[in-house]
Amino acid sequence: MMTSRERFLRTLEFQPVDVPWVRAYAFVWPETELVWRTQGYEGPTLGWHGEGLPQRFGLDELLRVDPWYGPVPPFEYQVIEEDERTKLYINHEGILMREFKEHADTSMPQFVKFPVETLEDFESFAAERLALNPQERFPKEWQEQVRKGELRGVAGAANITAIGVESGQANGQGKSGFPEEHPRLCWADRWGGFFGPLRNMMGLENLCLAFYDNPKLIERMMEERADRIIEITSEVMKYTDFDVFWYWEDMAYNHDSLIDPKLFRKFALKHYRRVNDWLRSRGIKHIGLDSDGNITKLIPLWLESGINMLWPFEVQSGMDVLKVRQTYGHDLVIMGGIDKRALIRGGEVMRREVDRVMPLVEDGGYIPELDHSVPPDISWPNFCEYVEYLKYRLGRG
Amino acid sequence: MNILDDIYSCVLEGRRNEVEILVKQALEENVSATDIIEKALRPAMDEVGLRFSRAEFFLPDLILAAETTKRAVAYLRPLLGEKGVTSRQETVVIGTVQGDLHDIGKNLVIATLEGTGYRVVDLGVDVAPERFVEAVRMHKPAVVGFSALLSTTMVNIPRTIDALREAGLREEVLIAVGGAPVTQRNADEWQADIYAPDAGTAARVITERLAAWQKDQEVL
Repeated sequence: MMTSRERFLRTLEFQPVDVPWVRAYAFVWPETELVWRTQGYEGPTLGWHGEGLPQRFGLDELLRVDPWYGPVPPFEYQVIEEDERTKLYINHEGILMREFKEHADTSMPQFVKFPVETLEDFESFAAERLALNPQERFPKEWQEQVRKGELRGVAGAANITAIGVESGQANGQGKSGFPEEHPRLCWADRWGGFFGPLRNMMGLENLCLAFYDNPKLIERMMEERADRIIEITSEVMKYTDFDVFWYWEDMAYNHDSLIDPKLFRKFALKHYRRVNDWLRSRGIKHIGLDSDGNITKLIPLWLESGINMLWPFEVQSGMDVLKVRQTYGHDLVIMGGIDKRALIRGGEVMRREVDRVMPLVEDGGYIPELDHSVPPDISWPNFCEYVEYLKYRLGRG
Repeated sequence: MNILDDIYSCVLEGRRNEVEILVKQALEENVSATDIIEKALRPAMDEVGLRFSRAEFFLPDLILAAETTKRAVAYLRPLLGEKGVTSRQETVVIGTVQGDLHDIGKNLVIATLEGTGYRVVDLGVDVAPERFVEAVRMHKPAVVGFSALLSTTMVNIPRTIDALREAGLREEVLIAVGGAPVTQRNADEWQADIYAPDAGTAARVITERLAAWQKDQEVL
């Protein structure tokens, strides 16, 4: 019988596996959990990573070993003003934002002002917040957890969640009945990339204009990100190995890329390549990227740069994992692509949606999971029904 | 190429630092402010919207074009006032519905509407139904636009439409809806008059529907 890690790696390499690798993947909105508790869910606090779901359903896990790639020290949380329903505050990334006081996680904040507007702003920001700063990025607590392989719920720099279990359970013996040697992921969440992180610093509109008005600033920011990704990841490798490196970009909306892919390619390709070549030289064969929305026009650029895994393929934005496989064949590993909206209706609609992606499971290089987080309109019974049906189709229960 | 073509190209290419010079030159050549708007700026923004909808233009193109047009309109506005001529008499009241703080899409729609000559009253984000009602009473817009980003907040669009209906204002305005999760089917269910699938399309579909509505009003 294969370990979970072997199964995962063989899936990524389009090799035969004993049973398909699958996690009970669920980024669960806090509001979803509140609703689920009225619908029969009685487990531990789920949190964003669906704590406890892998044990409950007996599925695989992807352990996260990443530190925080963003600003350290973090900006001090500072409330500027507030009314009955909202508060205006500076968050840990230096963004002035307005947010609802209740259910803040289930609504999108209004971004009011960003920390970088000019090259001078950026140089100060980078010097003060983006340096390696190993004491803060790799605290003793992190080092100890990595050493012991206890990769659950570890707080990273300044209590920013930086290392955890992507789908819940800690390393060790699980309930899946399989020897639990889990694959490991280093996800440079929110700060590993060449569009998303720049947007975190400048805001979408200012960043879009800067590609035309201030190319030197764009070039400098991308260069710094590439340097820092390599530097921070190199430090991670001193403590642990991992199987997959993961970028974060979120650079598409429901119809298209946010920016002309040709323009982005002109700026970003060489930086992706530099990082990816470095990762490969250090033995990391699998390099993934997270971008919501319709990424159709961006896939060729990412493939060309050396990225070979993508997630989440949002169906509501027009992404169809079967078509993507038809186009790119075994050059691309696909994660996600199951339409979360089918779980709202459940039953036959859900089963048809799960059935739809089964040819990819047969083909390999595919991790079947939802096309993004679980909103509160997916009921707990419907979620359970989905996981059980997925397990049944995969021959896992 | 005449000066109106130059201004048209300037908007299409988003050369916002040059547009005021071209507009000034047009005025010196005795082109009227109304013609600059109706024959250059508005067609250019329509074209930008079309190209955005066809995925030939991207967000930066839309932002740059809208910004270019906005600068031109701002330059022309005092002049239009003096001559007692406005490019468009119609006012659009717009806001993100209650429970939603998202404003990028709404702001893009505002930029394209202003670029095509509308007077826009921006109610901001997290706008309660009663504030929309109050704004419609106060500004008497031809169109009121509701934006929502999330499936969990778009339920407040029909609630706001109901509030307008209860206030006896529903028939006074055209209702436009849009936002990432909003579909034509939703718009039909809510009996909205206008659905814009994206920010690039909004100004064009509002103009088309408004023209048809005004024609109907004349017949009546």
